[in-house]
Amino acid sequence: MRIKTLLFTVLSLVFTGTLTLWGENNPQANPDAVVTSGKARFTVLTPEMIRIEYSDNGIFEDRATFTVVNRNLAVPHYSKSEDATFLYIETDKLKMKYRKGTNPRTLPPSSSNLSITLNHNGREVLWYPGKPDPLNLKGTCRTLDGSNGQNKRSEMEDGLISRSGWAVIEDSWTSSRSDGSRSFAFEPEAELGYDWWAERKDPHALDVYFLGYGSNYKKALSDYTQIAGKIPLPPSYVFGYWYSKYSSYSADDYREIMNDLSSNNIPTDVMILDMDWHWNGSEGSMSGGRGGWTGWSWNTNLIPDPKGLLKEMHDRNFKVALNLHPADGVSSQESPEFFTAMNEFLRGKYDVNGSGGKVIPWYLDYPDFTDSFFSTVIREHEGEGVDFWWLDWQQHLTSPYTSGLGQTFWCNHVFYNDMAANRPDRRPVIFHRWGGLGSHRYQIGFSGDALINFPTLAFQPYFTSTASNVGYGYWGHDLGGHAFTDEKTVNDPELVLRWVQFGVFTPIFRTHATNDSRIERRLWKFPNFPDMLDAVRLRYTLFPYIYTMAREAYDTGISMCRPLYYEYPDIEEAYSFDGEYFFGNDILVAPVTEASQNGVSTKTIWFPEGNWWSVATNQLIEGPCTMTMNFSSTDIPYFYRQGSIVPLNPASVKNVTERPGHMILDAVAGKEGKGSLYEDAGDNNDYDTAFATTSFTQTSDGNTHVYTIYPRAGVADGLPESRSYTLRVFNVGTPEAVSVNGSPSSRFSYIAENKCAVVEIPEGLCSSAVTVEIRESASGVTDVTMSSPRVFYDKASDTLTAEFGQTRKNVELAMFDLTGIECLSQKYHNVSGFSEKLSMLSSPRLYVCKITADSQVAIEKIFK
Amino acid sequence: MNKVISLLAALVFSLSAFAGMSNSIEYTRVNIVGPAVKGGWDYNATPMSKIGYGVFTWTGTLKGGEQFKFMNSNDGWNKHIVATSKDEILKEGEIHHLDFYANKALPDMLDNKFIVLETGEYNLTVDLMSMSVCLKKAGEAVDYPQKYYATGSALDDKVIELTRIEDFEFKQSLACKAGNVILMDTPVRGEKTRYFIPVFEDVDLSFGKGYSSTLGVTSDSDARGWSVTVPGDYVIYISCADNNYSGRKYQPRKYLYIVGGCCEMSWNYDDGSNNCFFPNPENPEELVWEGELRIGWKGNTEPDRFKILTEKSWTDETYHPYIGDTEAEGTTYIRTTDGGDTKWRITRDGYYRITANTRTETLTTEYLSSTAPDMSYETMGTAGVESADTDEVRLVCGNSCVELLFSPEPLDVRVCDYSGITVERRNNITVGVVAEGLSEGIYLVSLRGKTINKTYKVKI
Repeated sequence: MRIKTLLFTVLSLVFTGTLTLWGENNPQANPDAVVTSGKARFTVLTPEMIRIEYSDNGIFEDRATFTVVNRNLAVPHYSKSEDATFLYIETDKLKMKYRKGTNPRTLPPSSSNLSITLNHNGREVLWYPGKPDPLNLKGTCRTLDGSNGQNKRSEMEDGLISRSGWAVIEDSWTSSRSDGSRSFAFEPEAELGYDWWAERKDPHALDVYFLGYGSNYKKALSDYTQIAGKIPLPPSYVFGYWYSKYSSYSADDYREIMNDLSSNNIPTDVMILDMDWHWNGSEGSMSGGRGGWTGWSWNTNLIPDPKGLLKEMHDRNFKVALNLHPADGVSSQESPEFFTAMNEFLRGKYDVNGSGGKVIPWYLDYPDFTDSFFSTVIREHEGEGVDFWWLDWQQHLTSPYTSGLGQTFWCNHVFYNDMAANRPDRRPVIFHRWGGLGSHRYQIGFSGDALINFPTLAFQPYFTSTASNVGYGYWGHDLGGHAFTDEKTVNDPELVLRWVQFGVFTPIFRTHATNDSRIERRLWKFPNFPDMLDAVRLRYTLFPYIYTMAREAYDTGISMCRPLYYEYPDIEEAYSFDGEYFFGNDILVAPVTEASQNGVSTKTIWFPEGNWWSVATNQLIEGPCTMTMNFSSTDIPYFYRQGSIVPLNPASVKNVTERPGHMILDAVAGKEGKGSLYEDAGDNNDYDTAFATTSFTQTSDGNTHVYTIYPRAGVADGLPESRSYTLRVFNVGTPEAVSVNGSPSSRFSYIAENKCAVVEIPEGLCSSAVTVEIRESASGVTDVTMSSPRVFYDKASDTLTAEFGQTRKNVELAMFDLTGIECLSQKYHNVSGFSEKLSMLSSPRLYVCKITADSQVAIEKIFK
Repeated sequence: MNKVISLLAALVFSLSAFAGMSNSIEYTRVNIVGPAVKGGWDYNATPMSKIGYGVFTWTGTLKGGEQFKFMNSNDGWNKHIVATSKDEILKEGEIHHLDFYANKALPDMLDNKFIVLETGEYNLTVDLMSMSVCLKKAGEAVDYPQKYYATGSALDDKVIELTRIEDFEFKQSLACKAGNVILMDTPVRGEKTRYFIPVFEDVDLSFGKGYSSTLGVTSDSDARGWSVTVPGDYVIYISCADNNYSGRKYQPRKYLYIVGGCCEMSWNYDDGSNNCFFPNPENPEELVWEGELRIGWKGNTEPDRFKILTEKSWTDETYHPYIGDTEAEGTTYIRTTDGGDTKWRITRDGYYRITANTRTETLTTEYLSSTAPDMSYETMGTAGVESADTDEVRLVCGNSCVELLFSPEPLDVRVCDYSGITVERRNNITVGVVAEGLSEGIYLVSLRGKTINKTYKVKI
């Protein structure tokens, strides 16, 4: 402890404010960025971001706060001028005007004392403190507890980007977060080794950050992590499959589950022990009245040898997390040994006596309680083998002892930093909820208790990607849903499958449900288990890509699930198709979230500009277009960007922590592109510098495609020295010849159904480059699916018109009435469109119009 | 230092742990209490109006020399919003700070009140985001016009007279490009033209839903009005009663749900059997429902009434008529703004088609027949039969299956889904299962024989 204290003290001398364990942050801005005018202070942080402070007492905050931990950025170019009335600050992007000597925020809010203007989409946009913004693109909310359909949409807090072109970080102490908590300051706490909350210097001071990034959403988010801290990289094991279910499992139950997972070949990395690991007071869990919702001691009736069980789990390559509901403190009845030890440590402090000497309340507000609790309770369980903690705060949202201290945020901060400070051999991680801005520094999140039904599933793609708007990029959902809705859906195999398939393309892949005997979460018990297993395996296959994107989130602040508007801010569909998102740089995902009809799921998908390889249907789709596609239950609508190179694991991988000597590269030919593979030791704390990357590129020149794997750059523990690859190139014709490093190779094949050339690249040193050249036969690339035929019905002329955009050899038009009777049939040859009078059809009536253009089918309804 | 402050706070705050927001400020409601206001210490007598996120306003009489403070949420005498000093004199035009305490027994030393020196008509604005309050003399009452005209660069400077729906509200669809929208009381700008402005200068045209935002008035022809950043179709509303403005960007809806005492499933929105409207494929602004409505079905409450939900929830937007118990048949306006839980009323049992136009906000209710109509040629609704015994044909639909139990002549039987795609077909049968394993939904079953030519719409 002394060494730690000394180190901390030294570093604290270096930094006047906060010290964070994931990097060096300095809350003191460069003086050259600061303009003070009376009781107002302005800090120009970037060309698009200005901090605005006002204090009646002229006291400004230079310490870190819960939201902002670093203000020492490179000073952007800006100018300052003033006249008798106003102060003007102008950056390359913003113009600020401040009426000297006034509070910038008027009541009601107006532009009279302070305004900022910026150019957004070709017009001048005005902002002033307190201006409402209904166009904010939102961020996230504390929890999905009670989520049913879209009901949580209205609870989502404002995010850091907006279609208005501006957003605001309200960091005044007065500005309550949605849970009623506030942004305190941080000060070093030497004994514990990490920052502690502190009162703001002037609790009534104005402290807001104006972000005027226009449509440059990614820069806004990236710059946010410059001031609010990076999004840490979780340990690699969290990206594997988690087995989780709230149930009174005994040790033998866990053994049986592990055996079943193994015998069913389900790759798994994390085992969750929900709250019944401790005494919970329930007869059903053999607690015999001991304990309750909060507990800290093993229920030895269920788990007689916890240490032994956890060792068995570790021996089977599971990481282990335990659920905690800390709110009720430490009870002498549930945990007499812990109670006694802590009470001695604390010398009976706080209101132990107020509870009749039976409970030490949850005083996480205070360092001595925290020190006592972690050194007594948490250290012991960590010694038994607990790898990380699932914090499940569900009680009062702010502290009863410290006005405005958010329990969610503060638990996040303390548990995360305690792990960082006390377990330096591993990477800190917690599993908890969103506690307001700044929570992105304490990953990862569990979204909570959503209802089991399709409409609730349908909300989650939007929810997950939108959370990236506040850097909260690691939501993990209860895949399958949490709580009973009705008999029909409770164990609907299709619903669970679709939820699991969606989960493959989310940050955390964990099935879970509540303690309800009607709910099954053992995937192998479902009739469509093979389909579910395929999804789990896909997750493991995708791990190298996922982990690479996780690193990118650390480096750039752009989380892996990204709304489409990050890339296409000027396109309306990028906002309206909010059930789609980008999963990293190169994969577009449109999860199926509705029940199928007759085994077929029909989904209308918007494809942005560019070409997209549909993995499920083996077709290249030319964007921009909106296409209605059919999917079977095993199809997952995800699409590779043309030109992408996606690194994948082989199917043999059972744990994401493996570093296989053979990998797969998926590439979509036809466009220059690149990809990369990020690797590190997986659970190391020095990943900021100890890592390696391998880059890939592809070029196309007519029928010749060249793929290059560059020498691995950087060093990390545990990586293989050499590697072989399988290169799968989609969207190509039959290869005529293949060479590897200039030498002809016969180790290739072609899968016509997938339009995929498969090249085996023999094992070679990772320090050496590999070049693969594929020369297609002259026939070239197979067909590109154009956007759907455009079909119009003009009521005035009673004419149906179809346009294909290119010549089609054989076109058939068939029209049916709602009874299924065919009313009209026409054929056309070598046309790029047609117009057909419908005057022979009676009206008013609804008709179904089916157009078959070569192999493409479009169905439209018209009301005549 | 932190410990000292915190322990002091521990004395101030209740030590017992409450669920949820029990210790936290809430941005939902603020009331004024104290002898300075007419309602005195009556907790609910003097509510403030919410004009923005965390911003509340009130206009009324404050008695000079008398105390007042603010209470937050509806959590009884627990959440206090008070002055920072004892009997703090609230001066006109100055911003004063506020403190918040959650404490059911707030000590006098913290329970600071405001006073004004002179009795008068005042306007108070409380901003919980900045924890501040500002007092102004109340302005003169505005004489609001009988007609409004919208113009501005977002409308290419065209002038559009707002549609007035009796004495309820003005409602107007506007196709906007990026720019601004201005409301005025003359069709042409002139010296006497008055301009009506939002509470928040230059706020987006879609702002206002859920807030009290009474229009302001100015003669300044340079007033910015409302801003339009995202081009598209908007609908704006101004209530005639309190001159509140709200707007929205129009988005077609995918679903609506009918609930009511005259519906088979009554007020149960969660049962998806037959309460869902479907989009008219030819007009995305329209959603259509067809089915049976019956007065007093199964003893339901409000037996002849219905309303429409936009989500399976009581808290999301709902559709109502402007006047309670409006007779449904014909075309009536839909009210989406505040105005009470009014319902439409039917006067006869039977089968109906209801078409909701979400852009024009109109509801067209057509009475189709007293008995289940032959759905084969005329309708696109969702009413149907679960068995048919006409023409001596016995057809059973249910349990994910369509089965022909008997036919006096061989039939070609086809099962189509709602989009017209044939799901199953069996030809030349008099008995037998036609389709199995059907998922939930509406299907069309057509029977074609020498003398039989029928189509049934069935619900699986």
